[in-house]
Amino acid sequence: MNLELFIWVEAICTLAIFSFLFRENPVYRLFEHIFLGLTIGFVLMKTWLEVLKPKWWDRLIYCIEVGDPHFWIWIIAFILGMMWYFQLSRRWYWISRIAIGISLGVGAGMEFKNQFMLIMPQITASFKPILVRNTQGMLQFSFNNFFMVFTIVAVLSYFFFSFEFKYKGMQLLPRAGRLLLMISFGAFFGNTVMTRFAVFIDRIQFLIQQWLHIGGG
Amino acid sequence: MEHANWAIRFLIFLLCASILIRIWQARKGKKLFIRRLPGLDAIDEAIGRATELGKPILFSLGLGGLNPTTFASMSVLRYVTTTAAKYGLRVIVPIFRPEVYPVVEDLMREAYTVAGRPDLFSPDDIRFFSDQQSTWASAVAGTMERERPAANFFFGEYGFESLIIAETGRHIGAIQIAATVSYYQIPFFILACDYTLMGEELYAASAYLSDNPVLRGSLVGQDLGKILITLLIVLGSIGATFATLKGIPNWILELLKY
Repeated sequence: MNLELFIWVEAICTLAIFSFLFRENPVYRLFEHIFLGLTIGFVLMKTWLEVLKPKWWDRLIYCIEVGDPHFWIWIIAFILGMMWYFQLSRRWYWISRIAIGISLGVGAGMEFKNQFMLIMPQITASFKPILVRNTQGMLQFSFNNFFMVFTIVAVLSYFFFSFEFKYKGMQLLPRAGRLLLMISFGAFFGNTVMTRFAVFIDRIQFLIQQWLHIGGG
Repeated sequence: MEHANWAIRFLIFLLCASILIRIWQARKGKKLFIRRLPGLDAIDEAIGRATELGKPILFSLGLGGLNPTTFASMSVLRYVTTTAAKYGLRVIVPIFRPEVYPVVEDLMREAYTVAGRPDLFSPDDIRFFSDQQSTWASAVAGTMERERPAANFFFGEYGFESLIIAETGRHIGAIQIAATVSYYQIPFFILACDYTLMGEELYAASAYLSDNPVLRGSLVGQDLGKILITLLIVLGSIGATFATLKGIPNWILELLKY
């Protein structure tokens, strides 16, 4: 009985959201707002249960219980978090800026390291031998590697902003980069469209088989 | 990479030095050249269209938190808001990450004041919907249908919702400009928007429009970094070729091992 009720709720929600394909309407608007309210409630609980409680509250309580003299670190975290709420006061607004500034500083520092950790392996992975010997299909391997290195250089040249290539021959490089980018975007597009259709088919299957009980065994 | 070796440290030093020197030069008043991107002209065109129709503008900052991409997008938002305010237009900003909200509110209040129209600033136009992608997308799509903006700007980081919101914008007949660093979403924006800035063009647009010496200097400095990386890849590949042919290790790869 409960399962059947859930299937009905799910089907009504799906159809209400799909109704947007026809036009924006009161039913879509109602479900859009239900959806918004539900996710806000869900995220609030998730933040408490998965972030604040295990990473802050439990540790603070533990430190107090065992008499750890460094428990004040968790109090500072609480104060920093609460500083964000001074956004709501015109008079004390400046206090929230301190919290924002600290967040920005921490974010920038972490991003700096992340970028190098992301880019360095990519750079070293693109060191490919342009001539490959003593392997089967050496021409194919050589061409693949050359094409890969050429693509990287051409695409990078497209993203130079502080100068323009003066000579016609050199202008071909960023143009080739743009063309190669478009080819890769085409591949991404086809791939994603297939995924989207898979998701859509899953929804239609749900409506036909589980809700309407047509086919599917 | 927990500990960089001396070669990587030197590379990091070169990249940082090139950016810092260019920022210093820009601050001293040196005019640093940035080539004009075709999509930038479209921004003024879109604001002009909204002015003609007397309809609002929607500017989405995407899914990013307080990171470099969102800040670059905020520079464009500042430019769009200041220009729109001069023509008495509203700018609606749907927000995905709560921590972005106060920064955007501050930025927009300042932009309306700079344009001489502080009365036009309405905090209700900055709307936090949700930090769940599908909910956010449905709310942005609903907002577009109800508010009917004449121009949509999609700047920042995006996920699967890119096509949902861009397609809705197309459906309502808005002129649309997108700029994203999310490579998988660029094809969808190219398809559904009038102009699309790809990858780093977003940072270039932000530096160009803001005319901020720090942004300009950093963009020009990064070009030197890109040249260095290009050279490194070419040399690394030549090294790898010799290593394969002669059966010796690739010394450039060895240099960058950590």
